[in-house]
Amino acid sequence: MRNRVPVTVSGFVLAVALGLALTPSTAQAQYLDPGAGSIIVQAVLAVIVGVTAGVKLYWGKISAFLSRRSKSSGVR
Amino acid sequence: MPRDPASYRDPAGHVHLIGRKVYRSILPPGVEQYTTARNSGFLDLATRSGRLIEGREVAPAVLGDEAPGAVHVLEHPRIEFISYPYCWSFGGLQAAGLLTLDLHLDALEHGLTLSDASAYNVQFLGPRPIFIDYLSLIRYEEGQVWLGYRQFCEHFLNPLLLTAKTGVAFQPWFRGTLDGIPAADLGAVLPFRTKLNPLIAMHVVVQGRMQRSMTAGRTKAAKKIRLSRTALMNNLRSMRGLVEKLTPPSSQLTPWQRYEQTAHYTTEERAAKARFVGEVIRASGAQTVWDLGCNSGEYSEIALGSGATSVIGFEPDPGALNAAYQRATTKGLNFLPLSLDLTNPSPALGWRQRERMGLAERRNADLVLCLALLHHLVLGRNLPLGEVLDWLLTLAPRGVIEFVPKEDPMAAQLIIWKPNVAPDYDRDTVARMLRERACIEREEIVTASGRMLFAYSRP
Repeated sequence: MRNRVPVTVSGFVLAVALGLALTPSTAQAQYLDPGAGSIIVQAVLAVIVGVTAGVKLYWGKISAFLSRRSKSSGVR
Repeated sequence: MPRDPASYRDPAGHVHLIGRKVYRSILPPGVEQYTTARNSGFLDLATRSGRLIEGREVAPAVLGDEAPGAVHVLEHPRIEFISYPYCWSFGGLQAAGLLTLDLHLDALEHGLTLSDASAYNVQFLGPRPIFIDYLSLIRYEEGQVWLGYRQFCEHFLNPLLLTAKTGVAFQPWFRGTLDGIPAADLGAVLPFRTKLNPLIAMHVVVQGRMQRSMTAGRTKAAKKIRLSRTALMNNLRSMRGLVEKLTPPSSQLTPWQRYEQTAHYTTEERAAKARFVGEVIRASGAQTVWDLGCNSGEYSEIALGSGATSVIGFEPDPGALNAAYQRATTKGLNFLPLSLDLTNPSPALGWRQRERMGLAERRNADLVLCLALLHHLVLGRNLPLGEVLDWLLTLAPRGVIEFVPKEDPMAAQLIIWKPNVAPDYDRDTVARMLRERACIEREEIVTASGRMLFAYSRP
């Protein structure tokens, strides 16, 4: 299940988190006030969750790579 | 009043109650979103999986003058007992929150998103939550943030965190605000170590601060924020993981939760009580039973095994309530245990006090069980015996009352500091006063300590 978590985080979210350029949202508010502060939190959260998921996904590859290296050095 | 006063806010449509039928009008502002949701196939899929209540399109003429502008009209199955999040158990609120997130994740796969995250969009069929608001589903547009994120936190995540992390019951607070618990308020009471969890820090501490420090410039910037669908779904999955892991605190493990083990019955006495209750329910043909002071739901289960088709339980103790909810889910019982102090029941609340119904307006029981409760009301809470009996008779046409004498060890505890309370509380007086108001159909002494059961019907 964990491996199914997609890791793509839009560059835009990163831009938001870093306080860079913004483009207009297409979101249409219904009758609910979503709270501007809460929207900003969502963007920052997306970065944190995305980076965490990315690290988790690639951690397997990194550790596999490292263990392969240490194994091969062990053979040598 | 055919139009449900709880559905006045949404310009896209309303719920109408006509006779025993429930309809939803879709008005012009809601037509595009409804047809998008319907044509995506998601509505069918979600109703088949039991996450969304069924909705069958019927001719708009059925509503007549009720909704003259209705473009579409849906007929929904009637939910027999409407419950509100401030009465749900910890497990109930958690299940409703998970349903909201799961439904949202599925909706996103079909090009739809949830416009809000109100806990009032969820109702319960037994212990199983079901989403009822078709008009919360709107077309998803790439880049859109979740407008309901803040509401999800206030209605689901924050109340669950409050109880899980501080041991304070969320229900009284939720009942007070009706709109859940704001992040800043929760942040003021959460222990410091809880805030070290980065996700909780974001949802509670950072969100609370952000909400309080908004300026016009930041609001404008927030309006321009876009999230990829993947990022939005990652956020939802992350929240799902957080909500799913929360558990009721150990401080909610109370003596009442273990009442079945600690109660003063021998095996034979317990069997006699169960037999009496079961036989009365079977003979009465009662379909819907209210179990007042249901504890962990032992007699609710007996009621269901004796012909009742649904039981609503009321229990003020959070630990016993958690145990009852667990019993209902693990055994698949059509039993919904709710948090309620019967001496201060859920009142009519909200806009013009018509938005959320009081308990009395929601009476639907054929029979009430009032087992090991009368002494708590009369001896523990000093309520006059006659008033309690009058009130019981307003709840349902039939009932079972258990009389627990003052000498019983459980009752004796209640009066240890007030030995002179309710001097008229004895078996003969209870029997006489009940007979003055109702027809006693059966009575039986079930324990050596003199506990006695009365089955009655309203004249």
